[in-house]
Amino acid sequence: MTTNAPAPLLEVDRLKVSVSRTVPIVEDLSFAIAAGETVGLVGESGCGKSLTALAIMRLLAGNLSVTSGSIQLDGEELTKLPEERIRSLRGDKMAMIYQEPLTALNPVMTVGAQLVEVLRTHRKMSKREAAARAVELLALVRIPDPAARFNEYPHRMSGGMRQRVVIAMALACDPKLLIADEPTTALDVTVQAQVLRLIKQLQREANLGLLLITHDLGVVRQVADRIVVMYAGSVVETGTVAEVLGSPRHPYTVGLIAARPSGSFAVDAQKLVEISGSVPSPEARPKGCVFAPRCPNAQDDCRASRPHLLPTTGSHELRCLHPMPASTPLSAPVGMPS
Amino acid sequence: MTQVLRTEDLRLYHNTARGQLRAVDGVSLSIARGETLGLVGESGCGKSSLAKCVVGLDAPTSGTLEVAGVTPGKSRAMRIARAQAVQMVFQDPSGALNPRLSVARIIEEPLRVHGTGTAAERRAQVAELAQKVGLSDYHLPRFPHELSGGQRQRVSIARALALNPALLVCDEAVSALDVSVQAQVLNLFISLQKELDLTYLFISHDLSVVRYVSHRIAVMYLGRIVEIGPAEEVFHRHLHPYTRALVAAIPGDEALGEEAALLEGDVPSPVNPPSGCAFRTRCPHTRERCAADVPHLRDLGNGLQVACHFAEEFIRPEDMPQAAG
Repeated sequence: MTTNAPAPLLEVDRLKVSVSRTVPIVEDLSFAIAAGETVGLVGESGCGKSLTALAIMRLLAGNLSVTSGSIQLDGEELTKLPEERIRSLRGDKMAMIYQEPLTALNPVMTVGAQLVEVLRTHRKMSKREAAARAVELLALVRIPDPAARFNEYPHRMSGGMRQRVVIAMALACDPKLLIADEPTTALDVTVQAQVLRLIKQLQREANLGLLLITHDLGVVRQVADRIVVMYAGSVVETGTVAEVLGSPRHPYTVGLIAARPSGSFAVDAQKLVEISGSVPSPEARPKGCVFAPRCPNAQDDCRASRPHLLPTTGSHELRCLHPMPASTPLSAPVGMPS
Repeated sequence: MTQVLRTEDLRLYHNTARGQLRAVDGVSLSIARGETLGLVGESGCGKSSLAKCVVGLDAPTSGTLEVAGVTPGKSRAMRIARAQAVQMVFQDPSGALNPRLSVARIIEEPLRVHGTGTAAERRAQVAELAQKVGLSDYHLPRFPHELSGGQRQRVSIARALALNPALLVCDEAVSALDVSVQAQVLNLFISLQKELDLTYLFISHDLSVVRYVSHRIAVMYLGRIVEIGPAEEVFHRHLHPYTRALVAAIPGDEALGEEAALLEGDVPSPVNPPSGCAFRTRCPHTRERCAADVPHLRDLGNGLQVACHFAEEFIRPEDMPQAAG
């Protein structure tokens, strides 16, 4: 990064999150998000995506803690802020959308009352002002007949409508950073497409920095500018969406793309490329490259020590000693057992 | 070709406080031996209700249902016969397995229930089943919580295969799995099908997965089949506006264009479905006739059947019926 570039909105630097301060779950994680930019954080379950989000929001459970590294939001070091200050940032300058809208909403409060609560907490609005703003927010997320929906309870709404309410709550105080953790995973595909489009439009209008956490590479391809691929707690590959998905180099990224069904077995009799085995648990991570036990390219040096995340071309960075050649075609199975 | 599953005008209605809920509303389909029929649709469209009728977890309100040539009834002998003909693999393998039983015992359970063989014979059969689904002797004494999600789903599959059924109903069987593990399980389904001449009713909300495993695809909306045909025909020609919207909604190569026609709103309540064509409230092409007449499945060439009054208008010149490749 050049020195005269504007400071990014969010900068995560060599972040390490551990259980009981001893077993690292997220290791050496660095990435940055500029205002108006969307970064897609992808990986399979257990790779540390959601923990990263919770670490940024300072919502880690009691036995988890940030043991080293820094998280800076607009120049403020989040890991060292007093609890009170974090509370005032959360929901205000940074906000989060969760996967399951039904658990993110309070079942015994109307959606209007929940929006009013956010506005009154952070913006000290009068009840009347807050109610008027809440109706505006419901209209902003394209909820039909917002004034009537204001008095509705969450269980009376469909999944897509509920997720819109959660989005409205997240945007209530004009945050600068929005973290969306699998925001469409619980939704039907048609509704997923609507909600993704909505998030993207709102982000553009408000010039938000968006951290989109998902296991779905298709969603990232559609929405994100840059992509961070995580495996077992560390970043294995990062770059622009075109760099990483157009020419993936890390065997894990290549495997993820190839494992996704894209044709018909009945027609081309092509087996899906498997990544053998499964993600190691944090206590059982190998000493060398964390992906080595499942990697088709692994050699002795991979098992000896952890490779570093190093730049290749452009903004493309890679943590691999024996990457796939730069011209790896996307569709062909790449030297993996099938 | 023998039909392993045949339904004729199958209906499943539930009486609710708000009126009659038509979960399955006149479904006629059949699946041949060794074939996979993929069933797609949004939540609430009746996919799982249809599955429940097929495996006997729900009794259809009316219509015919034939599994492996017999019409299931309520007698003990008939229930046993059905259990041997059709088994189910569920979405969430952790919820489907008894946490207090070992893997070996879980796989053995159907054999015990049906009084198959001696203890030693059953043990040998369990080992064989485990091997078929890619589990080793190491896994047999373990408990479900000691296994990964993919391994648990393999246990569910082994258990489903224990009675040697002709038909396997897979209800979102890979939806809870990570992509890399999903690929392993999909490959397993395909190799088992070849090895055992299995027939699948494969239910998923994920059109890419369904397209990959299926020979034919049925698209369901509000309890009815709106399009059915060979997998590639449905995926590429998608003459029903609903199927087209499903295909367009697959997150994919295109950046999220403002112009892509996305569906508005949600599936209407099956208690009070729209008159005529149930999809008309969300359809971009809806016309007067759609509210008046219920569209029925019509043949549109190459084995594709579509329930839309105006399906012909959506045929693109490059997709004119040609020899199936």
